[in-house]
Amino acid sequence: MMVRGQWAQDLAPGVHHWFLHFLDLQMRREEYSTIFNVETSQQAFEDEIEAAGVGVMPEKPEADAVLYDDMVQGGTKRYLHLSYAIGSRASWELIEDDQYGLIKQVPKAHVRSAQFAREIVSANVLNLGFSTILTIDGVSLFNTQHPLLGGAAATNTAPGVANVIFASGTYPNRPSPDVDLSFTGVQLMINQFERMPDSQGLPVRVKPTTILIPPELKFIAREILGSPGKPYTADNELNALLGEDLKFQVVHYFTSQSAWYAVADKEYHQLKFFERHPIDSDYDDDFDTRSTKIITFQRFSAGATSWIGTWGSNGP
Amino acid sequence: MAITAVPIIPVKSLSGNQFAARRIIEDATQTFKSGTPVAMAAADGGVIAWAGATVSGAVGSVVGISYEAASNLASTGLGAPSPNSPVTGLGAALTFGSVQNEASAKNIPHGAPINDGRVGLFIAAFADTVFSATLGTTGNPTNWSDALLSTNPLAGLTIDTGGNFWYVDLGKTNLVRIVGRDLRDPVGTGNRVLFQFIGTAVQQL
Repeated sequence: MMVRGQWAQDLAPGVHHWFLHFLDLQMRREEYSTIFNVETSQQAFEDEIEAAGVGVMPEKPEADAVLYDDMVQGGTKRYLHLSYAIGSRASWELIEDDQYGLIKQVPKAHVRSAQFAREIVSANVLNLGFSTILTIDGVSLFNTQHPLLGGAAATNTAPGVANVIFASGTYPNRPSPDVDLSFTGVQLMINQFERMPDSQGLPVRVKPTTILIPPELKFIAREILGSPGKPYTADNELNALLGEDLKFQVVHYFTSQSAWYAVADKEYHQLKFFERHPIDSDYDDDFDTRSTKIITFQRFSAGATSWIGTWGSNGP
Repeated sequence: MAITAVPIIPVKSLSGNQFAARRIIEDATQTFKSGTPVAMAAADGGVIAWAGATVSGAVGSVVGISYEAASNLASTGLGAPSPNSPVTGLGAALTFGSVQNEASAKNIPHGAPINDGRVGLFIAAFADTVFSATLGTTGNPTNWSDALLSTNPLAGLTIDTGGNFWYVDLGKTNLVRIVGRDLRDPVGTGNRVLFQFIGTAVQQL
């Protein structure tokens, strides 16, 4: 509850400038929407179900009957929208005596808070992607063994994955052990992307385009991706990563200083953000006290339907 | 005649405000119904069915009346969001069948009830809330008497003979205070009464 005793400086004119952090300091440009596919929802939740196609088309020997194969229905990923809200109260006397219109700015402070909430919740899909954020296959978003619907037949079908996978019937989007952001680490990531199959083992077109990093890795990312020669050697070799056309993006809501991630362009991955109710403010007066309550709220969900098109390493 | 109790529900608040409610992580393997007294597990803070004995106000005492049924979770708080995270579990407690080659993947029936690992309860310790429940005396139905308020306002809660819901038991004096008759019921058997929890008998939330 904000009352005049706490805001004594607001009661008399003469202050040249109130340095309001939520107005005078710019918030960072929106980051979650550059990573996640943003969609709207009109329901309590959104369910997504995956399905695999069929395996490789085999030869049909002359006069022999065709082989039949079935599409495979996979599991369900549910996006359950949560509500986020914050409120502030101010006494009627404070509002009436407010010489600078500060209390009227409360909703703007709330909006700053709301924007941060959607940034951090979205970033936590990646931050927690090594443990508690699950994809449609029931394992963590970044995993060394994502099970494929086609099972061992899928990895038998997928060309050249023998040296990439850690177990038959699975495919990784995480190194084992985890590696730091480095020249060889990026190469490893690219190799896992290049061999990425669908659930029946058929290669899919997913190209990593963006490396997502915490601010602490900005300099090394610039060296690795921007150096004309192979970084950290004196052999004058070309920097082979230049041809990959990779860019990096600093995400200021990552909690680890060493974890790094890579994603394909948005149409090639299934990281999703559902907007159920946009940021909205409301207020009401308490009849007895005449104090004002201001609340700001929103509903959304974020998550990953599939791991395909994403990759992560939890540092060393 | 045995008592067939009905779910306990809050029916009014003294202030006129909304009934005080919370959603808290549900303990593992709970199957309690909506409208039953619940407590918190000492080990992990998960909501459990009240065992019917502890009325000291310590852990194990009633913390509230559930307003949704338990979901029989495999572990405490399964799928509940971490601070600033989305729901970490399935978003539903109901699944069917299995998914080929993906042992941990789940099929959620379309339209299955949502679940975030938490369960809702109306807070017992909030003196503002008045609840309604069936009246009985040690297993026997009891009719409302106007004299109750003056002679025997203290009571307890006992689960009915079918093991379903709890009734206000005049055979006990340790948990609730009867504050009136539920005027929705006609005079006769099956009377419901209004009650509030005794503050020292329930766990504070």
